[in-house]
Amino acid sequence: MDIYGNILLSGECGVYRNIAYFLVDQEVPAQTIQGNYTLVENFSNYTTDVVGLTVPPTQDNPIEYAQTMLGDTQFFGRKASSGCPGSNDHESFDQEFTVQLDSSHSYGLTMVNVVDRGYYSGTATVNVTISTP
Amino acid sequence: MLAKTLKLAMTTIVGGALSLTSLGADAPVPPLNRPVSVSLQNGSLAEYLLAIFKSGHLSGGIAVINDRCEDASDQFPEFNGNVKGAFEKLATMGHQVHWLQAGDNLVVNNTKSPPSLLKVVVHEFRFSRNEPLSKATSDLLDTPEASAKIKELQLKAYGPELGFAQMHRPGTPQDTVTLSDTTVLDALNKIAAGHAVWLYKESRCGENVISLNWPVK
Repeated sequence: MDIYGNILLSGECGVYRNIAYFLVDQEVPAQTIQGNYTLVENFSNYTTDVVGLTVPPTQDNPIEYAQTMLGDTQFFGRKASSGCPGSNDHESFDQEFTVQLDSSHSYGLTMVNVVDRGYYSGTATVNVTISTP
Repeated sequence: MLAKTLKLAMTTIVGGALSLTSLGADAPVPPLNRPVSVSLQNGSLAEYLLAIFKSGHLSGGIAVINDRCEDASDQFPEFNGNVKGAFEKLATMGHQVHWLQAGDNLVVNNTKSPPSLLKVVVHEFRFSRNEPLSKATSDLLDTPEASAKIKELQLKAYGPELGFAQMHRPGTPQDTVTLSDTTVLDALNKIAAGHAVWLYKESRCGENVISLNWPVK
């Protein structure tokens, strides 16, 4: 389930966490930026213990003006009908963002997250850590 | 630079376990004829195909089967032309690229025919245009026919990448779509609704791991 209460998946076995963000400027105090734009997520430095699992694709997220709070859902899991993740199944990657207003106006954000998600010695984990700045 | 004036601030963590009509308008350009402009890229075939889909404002999907344990990384050229030309360019580089047009949707495979799971015929499937794409897809994979195929092929369905939330809108009965005797592939194209792009990846490396994402919503 996401921050708005939308059910995103059913019949899954895994772990998830919702992370809430505000897009703000660098004024003091910071001002929230609202608008209609695409928030592009890029993933890199991918590692996993699951043979055959690969880096998530670049993700375009349409954002509307009315969305002051932005909610990212980090999920690691499997279709329950095909079994649950193993006790040490997990993945790790860097998550970067770009705000795309249209085809000729894109702005890279400085923040980079490190995402660790899955099961570590049986412990369900979703950690999102800001590595930059 | 605006880039330096924007920052994404993580504030809280909430945890949990788990037609164009013909009335005075030009006819839409067929998917294969749409102009595309793609810059030089180092990465996977799936990411390059995705860049073509985005540049051409295409809807539909990409299905990639990989015999390796990791995404094969390659250098892909800058390309300016149309969608068909981009695919033909990939073919000249030795990449297997097969495409089919289904209405306004385009489906590209790196195999001669779509993966077995996508060819499964589902007797009946319902979804709402008002629900997240991931939910409709999840329900599709839970249909008895798709679920049986996943078991038969011993596929391990991981993911998907869910991304950022979209505002919730109250649904109406008109939002519900019912499909009968449709393939999984055709159902995905119906869910795409002329604007979204799905990406199916299947890794045949020891274990058969699959993922089904919506990189363009």
